Amino acid sequence: MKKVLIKNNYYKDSITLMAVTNSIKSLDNVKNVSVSMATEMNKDILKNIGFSGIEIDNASETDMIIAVETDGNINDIVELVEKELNKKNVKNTNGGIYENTAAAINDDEDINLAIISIPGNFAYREVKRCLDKGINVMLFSDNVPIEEEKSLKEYAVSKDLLMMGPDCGTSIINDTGICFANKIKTGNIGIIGASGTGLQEVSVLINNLGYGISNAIGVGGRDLSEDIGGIMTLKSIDFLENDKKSDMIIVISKPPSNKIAKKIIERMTKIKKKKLICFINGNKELLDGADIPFEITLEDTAYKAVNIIDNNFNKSVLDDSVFIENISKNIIENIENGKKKGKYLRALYCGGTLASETDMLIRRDFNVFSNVTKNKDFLLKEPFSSKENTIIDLGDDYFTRGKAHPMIDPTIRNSRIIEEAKDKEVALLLLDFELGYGSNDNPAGIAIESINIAKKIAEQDGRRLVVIGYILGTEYDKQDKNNQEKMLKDNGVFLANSNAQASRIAKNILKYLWSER
Amino acid sequence: MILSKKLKVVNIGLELFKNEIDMQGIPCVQVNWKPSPVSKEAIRALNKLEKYKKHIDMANMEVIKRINTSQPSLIGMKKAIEAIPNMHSKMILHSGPKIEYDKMAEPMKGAILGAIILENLASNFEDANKIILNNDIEFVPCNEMGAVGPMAGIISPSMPVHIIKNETFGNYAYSNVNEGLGKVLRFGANGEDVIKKLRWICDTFLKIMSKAIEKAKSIDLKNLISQSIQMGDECHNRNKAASALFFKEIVPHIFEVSDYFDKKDILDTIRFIEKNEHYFLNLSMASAKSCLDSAKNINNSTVVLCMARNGVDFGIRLSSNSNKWFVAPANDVNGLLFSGYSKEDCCKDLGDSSITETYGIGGFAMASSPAIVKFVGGTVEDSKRYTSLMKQITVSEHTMLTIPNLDFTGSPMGIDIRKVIDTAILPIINTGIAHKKAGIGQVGAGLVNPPMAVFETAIIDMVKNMT
Repeated sequence: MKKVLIKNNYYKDSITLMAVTNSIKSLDNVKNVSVSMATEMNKDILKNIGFSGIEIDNASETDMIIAVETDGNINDIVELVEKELNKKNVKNTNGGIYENTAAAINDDEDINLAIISIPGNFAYREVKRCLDKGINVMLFSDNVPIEEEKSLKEYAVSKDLLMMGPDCGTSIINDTGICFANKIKTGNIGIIGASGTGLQEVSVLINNLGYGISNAIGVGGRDLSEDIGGIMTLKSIDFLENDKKSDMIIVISKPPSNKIAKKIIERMTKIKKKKLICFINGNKELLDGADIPFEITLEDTAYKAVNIIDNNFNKSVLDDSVFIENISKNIIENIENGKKKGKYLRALYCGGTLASETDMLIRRDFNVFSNVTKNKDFLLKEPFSSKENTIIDLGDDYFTRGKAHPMIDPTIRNSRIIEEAKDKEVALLLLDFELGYGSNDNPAGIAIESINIAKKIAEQDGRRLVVIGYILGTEYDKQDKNNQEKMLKDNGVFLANSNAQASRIAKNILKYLWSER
Repeated sequence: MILSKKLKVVNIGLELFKNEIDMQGIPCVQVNWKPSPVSKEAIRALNKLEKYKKHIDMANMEVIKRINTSQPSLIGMKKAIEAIPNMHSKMILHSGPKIEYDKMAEPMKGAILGAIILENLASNFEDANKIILNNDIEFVPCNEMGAVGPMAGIISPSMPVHIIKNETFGNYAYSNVNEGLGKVLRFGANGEDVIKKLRWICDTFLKIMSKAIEKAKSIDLKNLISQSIQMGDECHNRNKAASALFFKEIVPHIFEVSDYFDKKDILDTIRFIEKNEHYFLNLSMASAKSCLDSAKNINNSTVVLCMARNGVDFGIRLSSNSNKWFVAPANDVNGLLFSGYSKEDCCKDLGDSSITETYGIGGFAMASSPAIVKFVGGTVEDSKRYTSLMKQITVSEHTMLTIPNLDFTGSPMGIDIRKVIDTAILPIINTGIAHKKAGIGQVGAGLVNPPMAVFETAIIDMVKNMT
């Protein structure tokens, strides 16, 4: 159907008219549209595309002709045209958005930190560009060739700059959380971490005990490898030594080789401030006799740190034996309500380092398969399906190719939760929930439905599926920790106060489940 | 040391991270990063040029000095064969880099056929085609002869050309007369009406204008460009103010010589200029050409002295080794189309008019002419952003061509291929869009970039020639 509308004495310039025509033309049910001033030339054009008549003939050059042909409601289309004509441009395209790095950093000499999260094979040039300009870099990207990491870190060190990464997910600089970080009390404990969630867990636990962080510097997972040699860790120690806010320096990493461990320990021995080393799942032998406080779990690191920084700290606060006893009792009661019992644990993690900590703790007493263990006999080559006791880091490359990381989008864990429940031998699920900057707005809420479906599936089979959870977060995090806790508790999830504690609770339950056999 | 400083952040990549920084009240700008479309080879070449930086910078400074101090003036109008050195009676000039006739775009072929008729080398198109097949005509790029022409850019021996002299350095540049809008030769129209108008231009118009310009002695074109940029022109797609200013300059002189001519002819000449709000385009192009050509052959310079398209290929030439073309397939223009036309109807990027951008006006001065940016649904802020963006890839700024919207800073000038390769920012060109078939005319207007390949091959070549 065709319609022509004449707007008398209504002028818009030709460019605006072209823009309106083009935007209406792109609508699905519009066969043809022309919006133009009634000049002779335009009247000819209209005739050529099938619009003619006395209205058009009589229109004068100061009138506008709206001609529409459509299968749909003609009046709707004409209304749209009028709307477009009256639209004011409110788009503000500039205001701090740039096409490329050079433009952005040349525009403002005061920029002192770049956060880079582009594909790793392109990262080198952008990092170099920033370092050239004296800008510190937080490099979230992974898959950066190791030679490039080395070259960039050496360059950064020579310019007294931080190059945090690659594959660095967490830092807190001057009370600012960068990438995935929690909002932590300001304090005097400085942390250098080669792991994201490790740094998060230690900072959160320190906060929850009432103490605070001065600065937390992520150095990327490979910094303490032989190739890189701990360059950025060593430089960060220098920085924290010169940082007035820091009275303590903690280094957290998975255990490096002996050679690198020696380097770090040598350097730390010279630190006059309070200090602490955490080699996750490491061995005190690495210290080789050096007199430096040493821990191997994240929880113990946080508690030791607080102990060191505050002579008067009341250690009894750390004794959770009563808490664990009570919660275990409740869980066991729950299990006994069922006609059958499962026997295995399935721990499904968004945070990789937490998965490693749990793997270490549970493996002390039980066989457990995982995609994070160094033990070849228990390394799951196919982490898509669980086997007996299983711990899965869902942030592993296997799962994140082409998908968002589970800390950003936890829904990818949901189907796995339901899968595990279908396995008749599963008794326990362990789930982590990360709060803070960068993390999902509602990690607890997203999992609730799947948790309930999982429980129902187990019930149909006569089992009571128990879910243990740990919320990694502080009272300041944007996701409202109290609310997250309530949501999970209301749906029958048993909450621990640290990841290590969640593991210890799980172990207690496994002991119970296996003692009956 | 950053641990004790207030943070000021640039976020390159996932916007999620910027949002979290914003939430903490820390200033943060965003870079919407895209992978560099530049070839690894070109980047390697760029890195190799690092050690010659001093030499290259010095050479570029000399180029900039020449372009900045050039003074283009209109000093005459003559037939092409009389004005353009080395032109002969069987030569036809065309826009863009060199191209074989059978590969040419339809509008260019159509215009050539029309020119052959105009030159009375044939009386119909069949014979005109035979002449071409016989290789009787030599086709040469305008730019290689010191000339420039918009769209098909066809300049044949009898056509009058504006003669522009660079008063500072004494070199000349030439451009044809803009016929106006609609069905015209530069879009490939070659019917009776077109030829008739061209004959009038070659005869009456030329006679009157050459005398009038003689009377004027010399018209300072840089001055007109400078004024018109401050009046909303960018002198490529928007020439209204400049054309009006030129009209103001020339008409009294036309009047001065009117005793020698019929009143009708005088009036026709005046009306011809008055009716065409793009008359100044050809003058703007030749002015740019005369300034740029004064900086030819400066060893080690990485500045671009010519950008030109023939509807098939896009070509650039540098100051160093300045006769060498670097060529790659031209892009489609991204813009708005007149009623009844679609993407399939469009000819690829066409014309020598990108000499204006090469000089630092046109798309480079978009901040002066916000109306242009509406062609791609942009805003006034966008127009400023484009000019600012061009500052990333140029060596310097015009001292005399300043932009009110940017606090009277000069228009960016001197495209440095090193900066193009390094930033992957391509020069932005405002341009008209021709119908891909001969003789239909303009079907729209918009923005376009050169293909990255021309800068890649240019920089790889540069390395070979470094001494």
